[in-house]
Amino acid sequence: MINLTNVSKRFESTHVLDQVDWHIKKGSVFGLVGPNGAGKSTILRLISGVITPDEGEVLLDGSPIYDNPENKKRILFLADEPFYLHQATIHEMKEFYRIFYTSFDHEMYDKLLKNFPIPQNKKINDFSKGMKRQVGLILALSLKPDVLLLDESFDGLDPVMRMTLKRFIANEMASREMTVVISSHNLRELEDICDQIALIDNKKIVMSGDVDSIKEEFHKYQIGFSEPPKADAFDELTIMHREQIGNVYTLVVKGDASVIKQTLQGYGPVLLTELPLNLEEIFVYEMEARGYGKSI
Amino acid sequence: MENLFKAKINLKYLRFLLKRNTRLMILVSVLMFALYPLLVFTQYVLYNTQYDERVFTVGQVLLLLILVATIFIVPMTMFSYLNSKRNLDVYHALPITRKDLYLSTLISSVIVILIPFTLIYTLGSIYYVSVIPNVDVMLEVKQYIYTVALTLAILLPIIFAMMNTGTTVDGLLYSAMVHVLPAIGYGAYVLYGEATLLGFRAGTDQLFLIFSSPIFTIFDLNFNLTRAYPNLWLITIYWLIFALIATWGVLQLYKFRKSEKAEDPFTNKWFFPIITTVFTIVFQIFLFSTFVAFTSGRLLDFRTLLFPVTFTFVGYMVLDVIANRGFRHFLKGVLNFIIITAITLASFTLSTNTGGLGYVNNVPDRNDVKEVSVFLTDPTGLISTSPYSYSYQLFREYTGHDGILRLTDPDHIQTIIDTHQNILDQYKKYDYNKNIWNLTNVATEYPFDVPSYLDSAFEVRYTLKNGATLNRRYNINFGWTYDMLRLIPTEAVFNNKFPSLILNSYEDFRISDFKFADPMMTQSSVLAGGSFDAFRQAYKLDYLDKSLAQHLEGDTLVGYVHMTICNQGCLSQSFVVEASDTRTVAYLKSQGKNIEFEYVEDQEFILVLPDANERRSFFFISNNTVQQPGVRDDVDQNFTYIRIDQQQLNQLLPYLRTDGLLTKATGVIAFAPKIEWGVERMSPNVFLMLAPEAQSLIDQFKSEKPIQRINYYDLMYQLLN
Repeated sequence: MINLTNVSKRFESTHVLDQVDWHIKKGSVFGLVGPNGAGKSTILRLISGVITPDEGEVLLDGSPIYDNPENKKRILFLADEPFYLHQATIHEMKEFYRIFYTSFDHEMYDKLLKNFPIPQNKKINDFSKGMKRQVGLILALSLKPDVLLLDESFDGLDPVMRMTLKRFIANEMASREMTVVISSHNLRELEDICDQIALIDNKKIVMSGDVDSIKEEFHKYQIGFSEPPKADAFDELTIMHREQIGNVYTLVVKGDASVIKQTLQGYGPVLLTELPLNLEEIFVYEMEARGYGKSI
Repeated sequence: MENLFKAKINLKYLRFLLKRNTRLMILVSVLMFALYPLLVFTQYVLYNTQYDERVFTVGQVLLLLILVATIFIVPMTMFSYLNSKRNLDVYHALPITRKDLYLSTLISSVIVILIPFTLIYTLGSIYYVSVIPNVDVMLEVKQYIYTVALTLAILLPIIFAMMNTGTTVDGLLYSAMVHVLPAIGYGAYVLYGEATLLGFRAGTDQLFLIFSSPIFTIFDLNFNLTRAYPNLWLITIYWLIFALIATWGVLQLYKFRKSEKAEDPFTNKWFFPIITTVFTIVFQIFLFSTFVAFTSGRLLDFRTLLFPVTFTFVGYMVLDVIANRGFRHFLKGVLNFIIITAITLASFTLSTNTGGLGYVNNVPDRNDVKEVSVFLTDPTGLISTSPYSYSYQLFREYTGHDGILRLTDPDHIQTIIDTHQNILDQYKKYDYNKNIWNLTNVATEYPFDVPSYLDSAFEVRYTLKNGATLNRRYNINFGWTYDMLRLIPTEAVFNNKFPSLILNSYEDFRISDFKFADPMMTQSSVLAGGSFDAFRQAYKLDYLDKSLAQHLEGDTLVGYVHMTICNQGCLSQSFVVEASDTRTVAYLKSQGKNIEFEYVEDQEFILVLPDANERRSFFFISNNTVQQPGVRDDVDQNFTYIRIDQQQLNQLLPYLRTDGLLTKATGVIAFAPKIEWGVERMSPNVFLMLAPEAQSLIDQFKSEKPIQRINYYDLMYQLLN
């Protein structure tokens, strides 16, 4: 559906993306994670056709997006700080978007408005940050795009609203295979809704795949010994993170679960327990392994 | 350009924008209404008499001022999304191409600007036509079309500035600078030329501004209705083409405008350095030239540099601080300013010292010149009728007589080239670079002293054979034009001196007071109006038949023909008739006029005598009958004179001269004429010179009459009493 091939982007002297390759399948919900300034928003703006790559190409179903209204009609980009016309009400914003998106769904709009208590005659600029985001999401979902790009759009919403919106998005995906790309720092949010995840760091997509596959690749164990193990213990494993309290170690290990467990048992532990590992921890440990925030 | 023509207007978006700007349009309409039709109506009800056309003009000026202000405000709101990253993310993510979005927003802006103007202009025009008689309705329509074209031309530079800047404040500031730049540039050009380039002549009719400043032009096209050149439609088409090209140019800029640079002062890194550098250089030249002119000198020095450098430094640094949002680049800004100032000063000094790279010394070769046109303010009246005369100015206004000598004969062209070269030589002799006004001890070839303060305008335009033109204008000491006396016997000079005799058609003119008077103006007799053509033909042939020497030395005075010619203004001229004007004398005789007058009255005349080594122009040049003020002498000096009676005057009659230049000071007869003579003169008295041949008679009278001394004003007083 969406292909980024050898995409590079610079802003003045800052090299933001370097030879990025990324493929997004139709009907997937992709979570885009990465440290601050890694280029998440840049990727979303490239996909939405706001900016054009310096090198490489960004295609939707094989054709370019930048300055291509036919493709852009199918994509909706909701920025982290949504824009509203000066002194506009939600109704006026609806009229604004309807000019450009013929796919606007009034039924969906009314349904969403019933679920979200938005004062319809009040100027949006007077709304709270959370309410402004709700307005953005209501409009975005009503436009029925094939591709919805959400740049940290859930941040600032209260838990009930988040859940409701997720439900709407899930329904859309199920009914018409809408593709969603969500960038967020809140990996717990992404874990709930995303079936795919991509990690961007050092100008490149360094990890991309199914959430379940990724989760299956990372394992967390607590292992205890009666005597201190040898200095080169665990060297044969890919250790992403290690903590030690006395002779008890907590390890995050990357690799095949059965092989790891077998190797650990080979050290003769008195205690070996697999602990649950969430996506946020995987992200943190992966970034640590890449040297991000390690010095703190 | 192909991109532009392929762009489509999104009509739904256009309607949406118009709807959103309804309140703005209403507000502007109300303001325009208040300042135009309502203002006119207020004047009417206040005075309750009749409509004053001038109030309509004031209303139209105010209407245009509001229009121009609207042209600045509307794009700032319509294209405001360009100045916010968030807004740009949304707008550029919309399913519309940038060119369509640009064109739709541009057209919406134009409509939002023009709806209130069109409404109020139409209303005002209907009002105008209804209450003011003889209004040209088509002119109102034409002016509307001009204004629409110029609206586009004013709008595009503003959008251009917005495309290069990232905030509204910077957009507005640089829009104003882009629009003000041509006017300051023109001012700098004129002042620089006049302050540093001898002979510099700025183009007429502010052509530069008409083709560089749409704001100037929108007012010029609406209110300068007598403009003959360039054609108003040509100017309109020029600005329409400019608007079209600018629309395309701005579109190209928009295509490459970096969204991520929104909210930065500039989205194009070259815009600030180019605009501020050009603006600073132009403004420095403007100020340098102004201050150089203040000092009457022509070179820069501490006094002339102090204010301009300080002022432009502050201005430049303010722009630099605004652009960088702080003082972080202050030192870099100072360095840039020093470089800019050094470049300006170097070019200024180089141009001054090289005479504008040869501009000052460029006198064309005779073989290269096809035609030359010269305008000279001539205080002697020998070459040109004085432009200082009020009646002559009126006459010029109604006949189009411009007082310009147009010469094509190679010898005549050479005369002008010689005069031109002489002017340059004289300026160099007095080192005009130091002080143009302090020309002490001016030497000329005239037999009398021409005071240094007697400055004349000498404007020359050479049309070269290759089609190019060379224009120069000098304020000179009149004495430097002595070479031009050679032109006196030419038709060009005749035409210039006697504009009332050379009209192509006299159908629209009324000739009155056509009469003949004797040399001493004691009596006159009316000439038949039907014989005017015969007179003017005879007089012209006589004039052209005379040699230069005959013109200067003169001949026995026969009398004067006088006429007044009127259209909406009147011009009175007198024509000196001498014995050598044989055709004119024959004409007068054919009219039954007795030209042999006998003076029987017992009247005294004053014979003013020259001092030893006399140099006052009073004794050398006379032109009492053609409205000339005469060459100005120091009239506070005393004169020697004797009183002569009628019999003695009769003996001197053959030697009386006027309208000529004598080489020797012999004497002047001063008297107050008996008849009313409708000529615009400096005094009601007449002064006639005496030819050198009268010397023996004068010597005889001097021995018979007491010689007295008197100053000029007392002399006048005595004549009148």
